[in-house]
Amino acid sequence: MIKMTLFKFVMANILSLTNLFVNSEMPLDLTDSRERTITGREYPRKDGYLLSIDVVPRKRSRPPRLWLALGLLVLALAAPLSGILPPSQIVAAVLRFPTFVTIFLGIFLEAVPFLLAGSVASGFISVYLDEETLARFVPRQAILATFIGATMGLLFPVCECGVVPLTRSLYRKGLPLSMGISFMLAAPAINPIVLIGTYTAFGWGAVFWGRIGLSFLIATAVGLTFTLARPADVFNPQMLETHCACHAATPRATERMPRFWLAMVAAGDEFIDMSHYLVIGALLTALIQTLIPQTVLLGIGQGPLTSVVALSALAFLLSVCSTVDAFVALAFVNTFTTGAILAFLVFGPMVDIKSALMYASMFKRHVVLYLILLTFLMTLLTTLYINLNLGW
Amino acid sequence: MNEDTRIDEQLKESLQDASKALVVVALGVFLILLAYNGQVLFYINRRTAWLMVPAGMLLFVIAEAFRRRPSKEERDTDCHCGQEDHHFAPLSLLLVALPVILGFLVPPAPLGALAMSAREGVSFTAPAAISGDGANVAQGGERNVLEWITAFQNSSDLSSFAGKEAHVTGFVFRDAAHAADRFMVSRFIITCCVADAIPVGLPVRWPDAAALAADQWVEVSGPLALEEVAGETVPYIDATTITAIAAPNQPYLYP
Repeated sequence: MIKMTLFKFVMANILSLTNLFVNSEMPLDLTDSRERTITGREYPRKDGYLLSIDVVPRKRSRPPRLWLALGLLVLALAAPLSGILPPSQIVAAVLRFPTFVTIFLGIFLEAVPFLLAGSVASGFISVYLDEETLARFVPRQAILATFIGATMGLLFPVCECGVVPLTRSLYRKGLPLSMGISFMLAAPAINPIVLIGTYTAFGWGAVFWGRIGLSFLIATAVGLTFTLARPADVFNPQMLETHCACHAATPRATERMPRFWLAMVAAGDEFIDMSHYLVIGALLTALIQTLIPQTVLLGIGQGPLTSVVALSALAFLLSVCSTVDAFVALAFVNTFTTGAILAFLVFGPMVDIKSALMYASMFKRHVVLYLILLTFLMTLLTTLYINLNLGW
Repeated sequence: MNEDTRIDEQLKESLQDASKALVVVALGVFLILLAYNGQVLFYINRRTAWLMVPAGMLLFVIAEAFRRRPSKEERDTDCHCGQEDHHFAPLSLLLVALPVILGFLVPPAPLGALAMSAREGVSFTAPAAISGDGANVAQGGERNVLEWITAFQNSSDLSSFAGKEAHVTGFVFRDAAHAADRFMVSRFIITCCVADAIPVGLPVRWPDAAALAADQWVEVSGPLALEEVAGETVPYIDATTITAIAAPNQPYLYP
């Protein structure tokens, strides 16, 4: 009973936290390195390069909103704990600091090679692929493009850490919005490596085919939803900076900087940029894992609906890499419904703490929230249907 | 833009690339060091541990690329406004370096009994589908904690285990529910990284159990015995010897 109240309290806090993210005017800018104001003046610069928009660094007058949010999260978690637990338990929570560090490093180390691979791929795309080539391969029709985006997800072996830098660089080369979304959602869940893992863990069966089918369906459907959106409403200002030659265009190689090194520099910039999100995501995940017992989540229930909610929440909070999540899901086979297992395998790769933060590097915050909610609701509906009507 | 601020900008930018290179190199050294001294196994499954080395090397290549990047002046034309991290914020690089900093400041330690209490209630039976691969047993060796649990779960007649000799390693876990002569010899199962760790353990009867320090690694030997707990038959080790040992290099078990 106490656990449930505790859980509700924490969830309420997390929800209000999400509101903080969504409603505040400031972009979710973790680095505050790109804070700037746009003055809109036009004047030629010394080098004769005409800028239509002048970018001026903004003075850092207030602390980054994110740290405030992190502090609030700690408070939100500490408040109910201190109410229920005797002081000795609070000491115990402090003693868990090494555990927190171990989990944080575990998530980070597991993700780094994959993030690096994604960044290098993105670096090479930014240098070697030009917009015309990409445009020739992208279908004109938005709906067809969305389908092809999801199909590309079946072919490219990138997990959720690698797919974001990759998609970001493709967007800069003019990839259609909906195609990028369906690719980004599908690839981590159904790429060849993940499918091999799923087959190893579950064999050919409801879980294997269900994972492919549902992931493809949801990725396409969410992608199609975004065909209705205007890119200007979706991308954050940083992604829209097309006035600047070096964002959109292919960097030029020089004698001292052959294309290979240009690609590696781009990869490094991308890696450092994405690492911010990875580090914060890993910190949050580790914090939650250290303070909230998994049983609180698993205790939500085993019914057709509650089991789906429980495992979706667990997938979101665990932030396990999709390459191996099938093996993690094995642990729940006997205690949870097939629908719930599918929710874990479909929703988890599409959205979790760290990938949600990485999405925020491309999209406006409310768009990230829509992405999470839309994906979650569709997962919920489809897996609930499976639980109630198909009896897998 | 007057001359002074331009020099400032230039200095700032070369400083930025230099510190980026520094952070990237530090991270690369950290990864390779972890792989070299084996501590990477405190954090992730050995199946992906080897990736630390190529990742570290790749980070060195990236650092070299940062070093080669010419300053803005030499780069002549087009990149005057859009440098990704144009406005250098040391704090943001510090965030990227945080894993390295924490890795060096906090003594590396595998998950232990304290982590277990954060996962309280996760039952001490292995989740049905996670099982020891039985490789040890096949090679005539001894069952580890996970393999014993798997064997119990696959068996229809637990009484056949009574009297069998068990010899297992694990760390000591006790909580308020344990009687003075009881503890769990425990291990964590890691599928991917420590974020998905699942604790498993075998109950042990040992007269001085209360005197054992939590988290102490021990070797437990003794015959298996059976008891009734809440209407269920549960095997436990009736320990004859308990030896304190140093934490093993590979603290986790893999399914």
